[in-house]
Amino acid sequence: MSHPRSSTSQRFAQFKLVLLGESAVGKSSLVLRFVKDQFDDYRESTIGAAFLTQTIALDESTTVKFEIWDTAGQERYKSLAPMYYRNANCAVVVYDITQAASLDKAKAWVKELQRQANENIVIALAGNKLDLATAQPSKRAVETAEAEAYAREAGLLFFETSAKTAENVQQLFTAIARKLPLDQQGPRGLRQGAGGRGVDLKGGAAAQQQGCNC
Amino acid sequence: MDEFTLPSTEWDAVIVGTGVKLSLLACALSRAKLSVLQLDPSPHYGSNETALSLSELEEHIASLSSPTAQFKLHSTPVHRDRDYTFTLAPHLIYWNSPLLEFLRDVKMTTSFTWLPLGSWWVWLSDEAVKERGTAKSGGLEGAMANLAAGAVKAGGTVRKKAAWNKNRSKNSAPPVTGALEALAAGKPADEQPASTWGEPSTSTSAATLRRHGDLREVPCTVEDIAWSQDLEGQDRANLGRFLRFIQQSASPEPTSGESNSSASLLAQNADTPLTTFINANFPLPPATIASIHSLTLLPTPPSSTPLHLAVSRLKTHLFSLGSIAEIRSAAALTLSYGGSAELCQVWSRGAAVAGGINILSCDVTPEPLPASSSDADDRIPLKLSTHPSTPITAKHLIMELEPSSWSEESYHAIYLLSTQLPPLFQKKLSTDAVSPAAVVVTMPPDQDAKTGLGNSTPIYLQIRSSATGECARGECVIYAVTAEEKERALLKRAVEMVVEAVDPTTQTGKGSEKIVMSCEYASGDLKRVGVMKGAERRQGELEKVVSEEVREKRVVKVRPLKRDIVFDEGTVEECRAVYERIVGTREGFCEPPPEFVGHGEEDE
Repeated sequence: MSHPRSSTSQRFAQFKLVLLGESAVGKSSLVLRFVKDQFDDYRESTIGAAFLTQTIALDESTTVKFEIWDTAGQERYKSLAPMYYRNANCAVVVYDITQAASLDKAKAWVKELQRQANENIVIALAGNKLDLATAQPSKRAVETAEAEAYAREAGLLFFETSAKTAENVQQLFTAIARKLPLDQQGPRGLRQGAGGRGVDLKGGAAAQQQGCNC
Repeated sequence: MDEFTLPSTEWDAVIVGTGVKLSLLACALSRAKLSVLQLDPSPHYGSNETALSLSELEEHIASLSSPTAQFKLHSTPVHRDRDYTFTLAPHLIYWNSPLLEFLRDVKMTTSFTWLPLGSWWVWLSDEAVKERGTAKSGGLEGAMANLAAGAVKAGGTVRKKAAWNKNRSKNSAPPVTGALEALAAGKPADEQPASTWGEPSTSTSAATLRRHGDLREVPCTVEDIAWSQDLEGQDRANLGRFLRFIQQSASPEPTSGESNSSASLLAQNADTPLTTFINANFPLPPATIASIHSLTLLPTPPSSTPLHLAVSRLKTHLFSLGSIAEIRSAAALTLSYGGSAELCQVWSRGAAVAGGINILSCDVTPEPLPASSSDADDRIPLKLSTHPSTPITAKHLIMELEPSSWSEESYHAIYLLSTQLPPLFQKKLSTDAVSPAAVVVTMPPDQDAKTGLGNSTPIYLQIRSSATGECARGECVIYAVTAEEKERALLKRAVEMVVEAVDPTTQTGKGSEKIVMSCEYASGDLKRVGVMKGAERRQGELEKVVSEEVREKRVVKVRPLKRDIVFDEGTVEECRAVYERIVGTREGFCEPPPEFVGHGEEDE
């Protein structure tokens, strides 16, 4: 829902969030849980889950909107060009806690982001499929402490999550929102940059009203 | 990264290239549930509409291996490579454009960050502004002037809805037609009762046309014309009449009874040069004509721009003006992070989201299937450079036309400046809630070399602020273009002149010190790389491998995007036609399938 913008104490910021990680670690499921509070056990691939946005109210006067870019399987075909993440303000790098190799892939993405992406990018590492390890501890292949130590060293936010049970999903995105530079203006800060916000193309009454409030 | 296997060897559509049109088609066809394989020999999305970091731009320009393509660092950039996004497609998109209408229909507008263009600026010296053309009377031109006067009179009785300026005041839309009539009657603004102009505060906010040295804001609204210091009484009237002529010529022909005389005047003069037409019908000083012409962004000078082309561009501009709620002074938008390169990126991803596959750094060659393969009847056999041992077939092969179809050359340059030229990005109206992120500056033809440039065709500069995310704070990027090969050397001087006029910290003659990077290329150079480089070869192979009948049926050629400052408005329509040819209907073009979740409008 869009917030009234007439009050000058309202802060509204929009950020581009990219998802990265190996195929089938649950990137899209995490986003679907976050945006739609849905989970689909038999979701085959990322088909259909894209162009998502979700708004978080951090407090009474601060709203953060995520414009979420899912990979849509492009990582499988080596077709995630740097443009995909170069403009991102934040990234969720996902691995599967039941697959040790997926953490290696996550680390490779973190390295790539630190090399190619926005200097101030907020990166969160998410160890997904926590429900599997909770139900059957022998399935866990990556220890929490190990991933946590890596995240601390690399300066990442860290959560173990379950898209299936929703555990830590909201917390993950809220932590990112809190870490984003809300007051920073500039090329890589707010998506709208130095000029404040961009133009709302939806048109109609909402946009009309907005313009007149100013 | 690991080697990957393709999920299939049979594809409904193989799309060669990731430029604007091909990416839109990839997205639309995938969303229509066709199996789509989209590839590009280049490692970037966007083909000739791509966006590049500083080092990628340097590599790209070098890869053109053309004497006309150059990349030069004049000083060390203070920011890192990844802080830059230079684009080969810094297009403007007018508010009233088929592209925006389409994006709204398919709920894709929120996938982009839209930024407004500010005012148009034109370089005119005081001397140039004072110059008066020799308005002729009598003869053919006199007759045309009489005809025009009649046209204006006749048109005056028909009140059309005026799209421009209507939103200047939220309480009372200024009666534009009336205001234009008043102007046409030769009354200067200060003789107008305030009520004619809407609320006094609104008028005040629009009162002053800004200038920085010889760089002047282009008047294009009723208020602008009324308050312009550069216009004399009769100029004001004639400019008002000319704008009303454009407004009326846009109205559809009345179904019965009276004819639209502005439309017929336009039809009779469709190919008349703009300057000739204006001088004959609404005589205006050369500087005013140059100023109005700059809104067209056409490559030809006003003296050789056909009226119908100019009017078509001016209509789009004027009818878009005032429609953007957050910034009524703007007419056009642009996409942050690389203009139309961002369209390529989002549409290619849209194709993947709908189940299609994109592969970069992958070339494709038509090649006969091995004898052992099952008969592929009328499909097109192809070999991918990434999977040479796995032949594939396509029901449709979609690619851009061979480069020989590129007829109009244009000469481009990109500059990175270590100054942000803030005066150009200030809000024009007190009611503007958003600041412009880009502006257009025109150096009109200057054959007498009064400005020192001596250009014979207009030079256009699009200046983009760091709000576009394309450069760092404290910098700006300038995209320059000319249609004259011999005048490409003037582009840099034009940039220096603007910097010297606008930037308070730069002294005259020192403008070049602010240029951190410059690069140049000709539109034709782009044929030498990436997807265009292979076009001819693929075409040749196709002729060997596939019968003419199959080629006719199965090969779809798309025209390369126009290398224009304005987004190529034929794009959506052309892609719809291709879609219809392949899918059999225009219905549902690029519409998200019902099972899609959250495609952009969920935050109502």
